[in-house]
Amino acid sequence: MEVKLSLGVTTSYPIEFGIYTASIAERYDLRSMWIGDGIGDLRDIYTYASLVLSSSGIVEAGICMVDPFYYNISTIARSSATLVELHGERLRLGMEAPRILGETGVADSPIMDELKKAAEALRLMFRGEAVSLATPHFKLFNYSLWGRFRIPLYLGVRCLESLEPASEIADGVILRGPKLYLEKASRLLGEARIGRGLKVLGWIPTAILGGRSGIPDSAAKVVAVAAAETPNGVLEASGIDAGRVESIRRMLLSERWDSLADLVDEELMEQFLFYGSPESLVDELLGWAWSNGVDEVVLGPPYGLDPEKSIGEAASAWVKLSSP
Amino acid sequence: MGEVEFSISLNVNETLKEMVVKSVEAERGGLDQVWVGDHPDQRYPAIAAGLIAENTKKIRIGLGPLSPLLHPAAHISAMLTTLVEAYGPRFDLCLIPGDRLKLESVGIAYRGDIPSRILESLEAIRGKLSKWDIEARIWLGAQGPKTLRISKGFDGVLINLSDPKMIEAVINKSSIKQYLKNGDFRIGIFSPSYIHRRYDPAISRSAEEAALQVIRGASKALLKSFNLGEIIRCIGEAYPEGIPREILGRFHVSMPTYKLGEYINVLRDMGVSHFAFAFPQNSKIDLIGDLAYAVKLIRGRP
Repeated sequence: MEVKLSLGVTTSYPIEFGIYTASIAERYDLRSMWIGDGIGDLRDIYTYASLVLSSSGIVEAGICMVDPFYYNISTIARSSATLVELHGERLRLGMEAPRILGETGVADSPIMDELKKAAEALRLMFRGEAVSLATPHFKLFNYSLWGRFRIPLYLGVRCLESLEPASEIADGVILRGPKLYLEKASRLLGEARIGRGLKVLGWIPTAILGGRSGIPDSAAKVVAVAAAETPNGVLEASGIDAGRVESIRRMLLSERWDSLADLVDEELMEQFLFYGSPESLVDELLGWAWSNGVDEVVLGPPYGLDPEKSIGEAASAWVKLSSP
Repeated sequence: MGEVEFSISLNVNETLKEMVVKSVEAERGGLDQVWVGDHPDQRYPAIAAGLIAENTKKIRIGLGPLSPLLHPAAHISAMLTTLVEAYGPRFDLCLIPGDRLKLESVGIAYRGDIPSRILESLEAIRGKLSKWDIEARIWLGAQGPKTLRISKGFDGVLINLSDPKMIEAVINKSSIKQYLKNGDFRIGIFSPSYIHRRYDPAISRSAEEAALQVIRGASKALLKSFNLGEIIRCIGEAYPEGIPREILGRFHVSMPTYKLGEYINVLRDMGVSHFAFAFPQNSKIDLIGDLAYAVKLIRGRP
């Protein structure tokens, strides 16, 4: 089975870095990249994606972690449609529920139902139909776009209970979380999706490093955010102390970025970060993807001490090791 | 008062390609700015603004008017920050309450103290922009006294009116004139326009229809203060034919190119220094050319 590699950036990285990453994707013929929305970041994901797509000939760009509880659903619909009008059918749209569930007190399950309804509504809009919708979170009255747009829809899933509802409506699911969860979720999906054409994608925080001691602060921040965004049930199932993660969430919500790295211990780092030499990292990812039927691996930040160099090294190792 | 600026508002129901062609024409003709509007069912303005910036060299680009009821403040500041990072400090923003019906059709509750909600959004946007050292002028789009009351924190107001007498009354009754003393504050107008070299009755009718839209969305307090409350109620759903042309004429700017200078001079004396020309002026390339020609006449460079 061929596993596709994509490169991932988030909007917390300068546009120039996003464009550079696209050029690496193009150089290694990876044909796609994903842009994650760091909501509350200083950059707008839709404009960022447009700039990346303009700058490069990569076949596809995905935007992901787009939260329909933050953006009005009409904003998600028309920004996606605008991207397709401008750049052709090169867009994949990945949505996800609110990021820090523990703090909001919202359970993952009803949110998933809402997310599913939002996805169904978007599908109809992209088909050119007028949509009316009335759910606790979403309201639309006879809303339509100005045309028809082919946009594959992905849903981010962060707990096992949400896998089924997500896979019923989405073209693909995006898995993020601790390694144990990634393992279980991809295995479950592998069994459930046979014959349904559902794509399984893993967004993986990666770092090219000589060893554990060289992990930079940027990695600790990425891990802190990843842990904060993971539901408590998933943390506990992975043996992670949810109380510690709650402290991280509080720091994130009060934007105390400077002290965040101090709360990330070795256990969290091991659970959320894939790191090592380019070859060992790729070997581990390919092994995980092959054994669990994952279609696409997205190398996500922090990449390493020198992100620009690390991305190239990882891409090069992937091309070498994944070739038959 | 700063130098007079002339801008054209683009329609986001046109294709991105059309918007770019018109922006290039506006820049070539010497206009100072384009505005990229925002409607919940039309093209996303920040992508359009980026595309325009990519295809022009120096023309300023305004995001909006857009409603902070539709977009979180952090998202609005993110749009501006991304554009400035990519293309430099060429961008403005204009905040307005927004069209009640359109907002409600996408689930936005149009209630409560709307001016205060706009002000909260402005403060949050300013906070984000200053944190990242992003330069952008932020305008308030307004018409009635309630909204104009919050003008102070903005870099300028765009008044959605055309009639000099009404504009004068609005300026004098509000506190905006005193902000002019503060240096960079600007008063602008934003109106349906038809500035032409050759008269076309079909376009004139489009301008009247656009004027009717302004009347329908107008502040009731404002209409009453000009004894128009009763007339507006009678209009109901009528088309322009049923409305005295004199009234429609007060809600748009329609004149031959050589007359625009007189109109501008009258408003300049009141402190107005930004003129945004909206539909149907933007409906054809030739009309953008006509506006550019009129501006050149005013600036003495025909």
